[in-house]
Amino acid sequence: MDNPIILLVSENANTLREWSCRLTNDYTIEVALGWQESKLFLENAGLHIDLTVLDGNLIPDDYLFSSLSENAPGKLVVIGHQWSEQKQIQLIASGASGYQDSQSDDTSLTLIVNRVLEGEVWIQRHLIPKIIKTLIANKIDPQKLHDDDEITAKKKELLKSLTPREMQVADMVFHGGSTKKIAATLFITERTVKAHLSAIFRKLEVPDRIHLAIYLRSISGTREEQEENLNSPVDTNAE
Amino acid sequence: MAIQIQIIEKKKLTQSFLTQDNTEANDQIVTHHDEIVALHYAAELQPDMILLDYQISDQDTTDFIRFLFQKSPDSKIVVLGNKLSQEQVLNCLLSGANGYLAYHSIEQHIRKAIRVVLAGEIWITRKMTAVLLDRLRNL
Repeated sequence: MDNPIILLVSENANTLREWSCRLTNDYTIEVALGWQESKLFLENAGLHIDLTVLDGNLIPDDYLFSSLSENAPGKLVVIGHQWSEQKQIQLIASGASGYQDSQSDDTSLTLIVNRVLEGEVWIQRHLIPKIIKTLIANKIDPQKLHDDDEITAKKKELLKSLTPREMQVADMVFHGGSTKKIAATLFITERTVKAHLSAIFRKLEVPDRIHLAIYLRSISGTREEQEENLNSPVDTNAE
Repeated sequence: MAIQIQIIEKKKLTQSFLTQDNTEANDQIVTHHDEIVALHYAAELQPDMILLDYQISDQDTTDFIRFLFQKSPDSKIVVLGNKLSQEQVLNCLLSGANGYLAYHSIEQHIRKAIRVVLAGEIWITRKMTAVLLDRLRNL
């Protein structure tokens, strides 16, 4: 099997020489003196670059990170000089696979390249939640913690459609009662409990017990208020 | 510093690993075997840490994680499981979990996992981190 092909990009010939020495035993190395030369590798469809090691000096602070993947073939590892945490976060959020500070002596370039080629991301662990937050803030609408008034009113209206017995069953589910326990408490069969649950799910438009519990919780802030909503005189003949 | 830990699992496995030697003297540990009771507890008491058995829910566990996250947004959630697939772990993380710990490594790692997650990090492998970031970038 052929060695993975690693592209080294820097404007500093000494840097390229040093990286090349470290990696040449394990990988096939290509070098590019600066961005312009690296673009030649992108245009060369016959050469598949597995990973690019990029000198962080080529990336100014105001660099548009979203264009990074267009300029660097394969997975991307940046070796930078004392980059701020924010810049590192932007780099990884934009698609790079790793950042290593050039001042750090404790990790070899070979190890970093190995790990990234195996599918890992190389970044300080404490930055990972911040990267995730950045990605989520950019992409996903925050989920509402509370329904608006209109939805709450509709839910309360639907709740009125339950019979007194269905209300009892719903209440017991809300308090964590199993089908068996509900049946024993109400002196009905488990089959009857299941029939009540099917009707409750259908009327309240929920798929299962946990969604029912959430539904009931959402229309009232406290357990006490909820019990007030659910409790009503029981007509034991209304089955 | 003492913390409040809620364990949500059908079988009584995890609490025994949080032994006297393993926990701080004042840590409060509560175990729930019913998902609805557990949800009410989490919503009202807002525990620092929730250890959730992936098998607790007969329905979709990721939905349950989402509910927990919604009702107790400051709680950290670590999912416990046996041989979960990469996709299952990923869906848990995307739903709001802060980590995944396999049952076979609980004894060895539970205390460190709790400490790391409470410090704001995520308890997953580096490879899983790469998969998660990739998925978030492509959403």
